[in-house]
Amino acid sequence: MTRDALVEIRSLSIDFATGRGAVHALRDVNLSVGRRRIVGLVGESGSGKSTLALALLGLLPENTSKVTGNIELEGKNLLALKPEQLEHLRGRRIAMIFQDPMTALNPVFTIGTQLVDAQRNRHPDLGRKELLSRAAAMLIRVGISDPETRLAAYPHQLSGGMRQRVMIAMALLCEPDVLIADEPTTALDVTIEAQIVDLIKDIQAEFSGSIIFVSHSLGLISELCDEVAVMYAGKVVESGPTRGLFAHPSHPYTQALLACEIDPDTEPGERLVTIKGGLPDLVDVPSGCIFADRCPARFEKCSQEPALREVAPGHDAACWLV
Amino acid sequence: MNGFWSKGSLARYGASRLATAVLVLVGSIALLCSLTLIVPGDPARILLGARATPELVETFRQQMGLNLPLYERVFVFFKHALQGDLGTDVISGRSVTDMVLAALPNTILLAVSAIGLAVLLGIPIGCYAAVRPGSLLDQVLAVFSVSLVATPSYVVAILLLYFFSVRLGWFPVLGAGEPGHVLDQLHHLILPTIALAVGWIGYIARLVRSSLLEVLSEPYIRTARAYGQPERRVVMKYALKLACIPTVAILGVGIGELMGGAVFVEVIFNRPGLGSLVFDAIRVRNYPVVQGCILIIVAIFVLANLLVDFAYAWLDPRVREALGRTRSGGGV
Repeated sequence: MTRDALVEIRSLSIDFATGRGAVHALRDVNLSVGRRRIVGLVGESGSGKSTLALALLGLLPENTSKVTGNIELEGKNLLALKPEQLEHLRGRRIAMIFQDPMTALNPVFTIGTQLVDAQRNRHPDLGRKELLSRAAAMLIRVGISDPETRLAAYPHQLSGGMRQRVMIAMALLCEPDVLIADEPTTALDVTIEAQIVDLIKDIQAEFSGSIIFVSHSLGLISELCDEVAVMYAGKVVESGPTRGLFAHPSHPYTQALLACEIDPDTEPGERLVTIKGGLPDLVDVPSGCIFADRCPARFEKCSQEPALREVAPGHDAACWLV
Repeated sequence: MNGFWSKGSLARYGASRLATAVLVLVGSIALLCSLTLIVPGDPARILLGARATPELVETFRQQMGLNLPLYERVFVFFKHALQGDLGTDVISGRSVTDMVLAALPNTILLAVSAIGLAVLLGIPIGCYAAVRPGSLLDQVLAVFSVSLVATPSYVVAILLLYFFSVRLGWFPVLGAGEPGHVLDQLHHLILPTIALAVGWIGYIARLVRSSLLEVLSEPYIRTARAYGQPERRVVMKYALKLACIPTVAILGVGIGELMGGAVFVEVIFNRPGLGSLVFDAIRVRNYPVVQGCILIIVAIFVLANLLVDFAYAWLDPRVREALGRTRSGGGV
């Protein structure tokens, strides 16, 4: 990965306090995001993708009990910042598109008001009028016609796809250095999903910042991202350039994920491929390789934890078989 | 877009609310009339005393309309009420309409200032407690609000009266103040207002606290925070508007309770008002006065709930739209 990384995450570990004990949601995660790069984070639900995204914004839930490691933005450790310094970064240098556009917008304020307030951190000197006209221009750019009407509308008056476009417009209005898209298409139906993906591709051409694209869909990641990090149970198990990683998946989990993608040639009635078993208990994390329980290629050595090892330049996998 | 505030939809909504209001008013008066049948003791006999002649009792019964069947009494009452005549006080012979109109402003003043005080104190206290859960104020609030909500307003009224009027002499003991003398009237208003509002302050504060805490954990609040909006704006603008919705709903229902509380407070402070009027009338079974007062109190309740509905629609655009839509009888 690139040397002059914009975002550098170093051995980040995060615990959540629960009634059963500490959930080790992220364990020793390393990730670097180069300038103008799109990095995909992929993994099944509960793998820690969203936790990682929220950690970048300093918006971890209240039951977060332990955070260790570093999250550096241009060399500055975000975890060491005071709340008001972090607040200053949000919506200015880092912006986020949330998973569910149905609940991510406030139901009792107009789209206009919400888009105006979201820009205030970025453009503290501009008045409401200017911010509104910027918002209107951005709505057109994300493919919403008749922006004046939409700005006066409330979220429930817009369709899901339109709301997600609004969320994307909100993020772009902040001209962030880092744009985090947390499963931006999960809550949408397939046709809308395709439109949103096209929109993100369009934006990517003009957008000068880096994008962290969180998804459980390998298809989307391969379409959009320069690099991929595959997460499993709070760890990055494989990472590398998209093309190399998809051509030569080295970790059995990545291979299994790829096998699970629905193949258009699947005959009706033919069984879909699934990964047997479920995520390990993150309260009482088993020793050894975290994927061993579900791994078809398990052998004796897997009782010890494998470190990330280089498979090809920039392509690492944490498996004893590589 | 803003269909609800348009003339047609507002008119339709108003018409349907009016129909409900009429039903509620007729129902409550019918209930009241049937109560005169259930409550033991003949009103005319109680008023006139044991030595009244049967003829006298009979004339009196006719004056009060007690000889008529129930439905006719209700019908006659509303027929006159529509003409602005709520009947005649059987004891003094005065017009009930005049008596009620004289008492009404005092009660409305008391109720409005009590609600105002409760809202003005309750909302900020609730906000503070929600932003700092577990803080000293939050804990004090938790203890006090429960005890205050559980304490009837008449108990508070008597205690206030005893300490601040009788012992300390800071406030006048009785009455509503000299007519036309605004400062004197305000001075007389303070203790009754506090007595009526105290339970509500704690109640509203608790309500705002819990709904604010709930709203603050919603995804859209996280969005506001993710865009670096200052916590003050997040709480006071984005969260509070939503948190007020359940509070407004409770206020609507609570108006009835508040009017009940006003009766006690007016009686204890000897303030002229609907409360003391109806109290005195009930004591002597002066049914025409009771009926007139109840009609007005129910009307206030209906009106207050209409206001609450509008407040609802003002706060929540989804409600606005739903109201506009259902009343125009169509789908999406």
